[in-house]
Amino acid sequence: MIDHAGAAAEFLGDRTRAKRHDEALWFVRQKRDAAAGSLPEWEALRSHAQRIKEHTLAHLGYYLERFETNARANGIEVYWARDAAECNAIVERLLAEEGARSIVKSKSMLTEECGLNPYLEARGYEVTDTDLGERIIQLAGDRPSHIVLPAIHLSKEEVGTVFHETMGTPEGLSDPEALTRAARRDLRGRFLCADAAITGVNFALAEEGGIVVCTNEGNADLGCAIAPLHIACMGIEKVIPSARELGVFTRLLARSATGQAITAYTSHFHAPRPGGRLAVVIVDNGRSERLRNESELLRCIRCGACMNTCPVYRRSGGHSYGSVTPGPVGSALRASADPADAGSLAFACTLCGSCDAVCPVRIPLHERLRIAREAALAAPTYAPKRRILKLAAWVVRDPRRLEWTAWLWRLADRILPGWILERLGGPWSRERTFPRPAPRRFSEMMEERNG
Amino acid sequence: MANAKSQILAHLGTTPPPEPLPEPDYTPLAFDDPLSAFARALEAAGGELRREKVDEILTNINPKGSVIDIRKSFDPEADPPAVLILAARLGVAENGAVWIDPQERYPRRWIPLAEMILIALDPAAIVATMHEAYAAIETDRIRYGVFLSGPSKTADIEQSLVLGAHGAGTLIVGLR
Repeated sequence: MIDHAGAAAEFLGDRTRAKRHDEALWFVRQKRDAAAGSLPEWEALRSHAQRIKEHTLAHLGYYLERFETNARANGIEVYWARDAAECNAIVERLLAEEGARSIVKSKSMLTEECGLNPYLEARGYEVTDTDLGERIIQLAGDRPSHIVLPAIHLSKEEVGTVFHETMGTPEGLSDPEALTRAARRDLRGRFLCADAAITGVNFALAEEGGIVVCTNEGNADLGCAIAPLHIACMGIEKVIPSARELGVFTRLLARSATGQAITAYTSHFHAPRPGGRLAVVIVDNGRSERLRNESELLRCIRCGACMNTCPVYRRSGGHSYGSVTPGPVGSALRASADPADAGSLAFACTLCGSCDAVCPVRIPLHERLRIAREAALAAPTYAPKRRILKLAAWVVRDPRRLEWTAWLWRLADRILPGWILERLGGPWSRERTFPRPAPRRFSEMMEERNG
Repeated sequence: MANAKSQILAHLGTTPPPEPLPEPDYTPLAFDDPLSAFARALEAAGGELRREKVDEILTNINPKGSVIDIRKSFDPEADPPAVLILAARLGVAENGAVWIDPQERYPRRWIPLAEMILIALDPAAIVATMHEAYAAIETDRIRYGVFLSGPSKTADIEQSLVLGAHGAGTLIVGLR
């Protein structure tokens, strides 16, 4: 069971960290705003992206099959996996065929979802995450807390300590540039002798039969250009009709994610390199089920904008969400995948709608979370809350009942000690003061004013 | 395996879409001076546009290490050079990206392994946005190709920008 409030309280225990986290993400959100504002057609671009995704998801089987046919014609191997277990088994079989032992991996939320790293490590493979943020997390034995900025919860001093202990950098070294150089040197050696490279897929092109991977570091390109085997894992929702639609998505992705106009590398892999193999694993893992009544969530292009803008995420940290994808979209995904967790996550939201306002494919996130709340309220743990809400509804339905309640409230305010009143709101009043009633009724005040 | 594919596709259905793809209903950004816009965007991405020929830039830099210029003759078996000179098919004004498509004439690994990348770009080949860029390149002939926007970079440690995370730390675009 996920306990978001409990985990968030733990995160907030370190005020310095919480403040830095909040400010860093708000800074990214502001950069996103500036980038979006530089395009007069931004809002129309978002709507167009939504329409393309809706169209593709409505005909997903057709586009996936076309992708497979055209990719095979380019010499790409294509495999299908119904769930995480099948995906992991396919990847291991491909690695075993090549006799691969050491693997360099670039960022892939899908393989995080499938637990591919622990699966391979348990079978004796050496997996090196090559995205700097993910490498920090891997060396620290930690979990990513953001899908674009995996190590956003760590300070440079903490990264310095991790590097000192694992790579022997000088004790106390915390300069980001020096730490990045150290990681580059260490990873360069691993790139040069890797047997296989694993990447994710940002977009799969049905018409061209190729895949596109977007990075800032160039780690995907480096891994795939050296290792003889490139395995790319993609969820079924990653396919788009053709490269023409990339004109839309490459304009939205980085601007939404980090405020850059485009990632440093937008890499097209449409054929294996001469003498090498390129294998694409298409994974369902619950997605086709989701397509039935919450296909909006499958539009997600994993930019992380909803996290950066979310007032709850910024102040509670990614780990408090207890799943691979945190923040608004993570909560929405998790809440429907596992209703037992829905309660905690659906309420980790103020329903402010800021996520909807920044989402590049216009996913109605706060509406999904509202629906998740309704579902969560049906659970037995929320029976007292349900009764209180019913009582409140009964009171406000009748003007006289409302007046009596207000009278009782004013009486309680006069005769009861403050500490009882302060605790009436339960956990709600831990950080807030319960409002005091006005001394007189509103209608009385109006009558007096109007003479 | 074959079973997995047929099961997934049975869920999704494979009939061709009866309706056409949605068309954009907006006019993309345009620039009065695409070259200056390109220069600004490239600078924001950590790169640099120099309004001189790539050969002049190379002379001015006077690099210590090896140089490979893919516009001239080269040994495709050679080790990755310190300075790699590439020819861009086009540049994109809105984001400072250039389209590089090796067509397997030289090894893909040279691009991420070179320390410095110099790019020869025809100013007349600068398009405004990614819409025009994808319309202009022959996407069905790509084997491996990449839009490069500035050098390799990361900001994974406390949001501090560091150039040269894995690939080239310097990227300069010159004129053809």
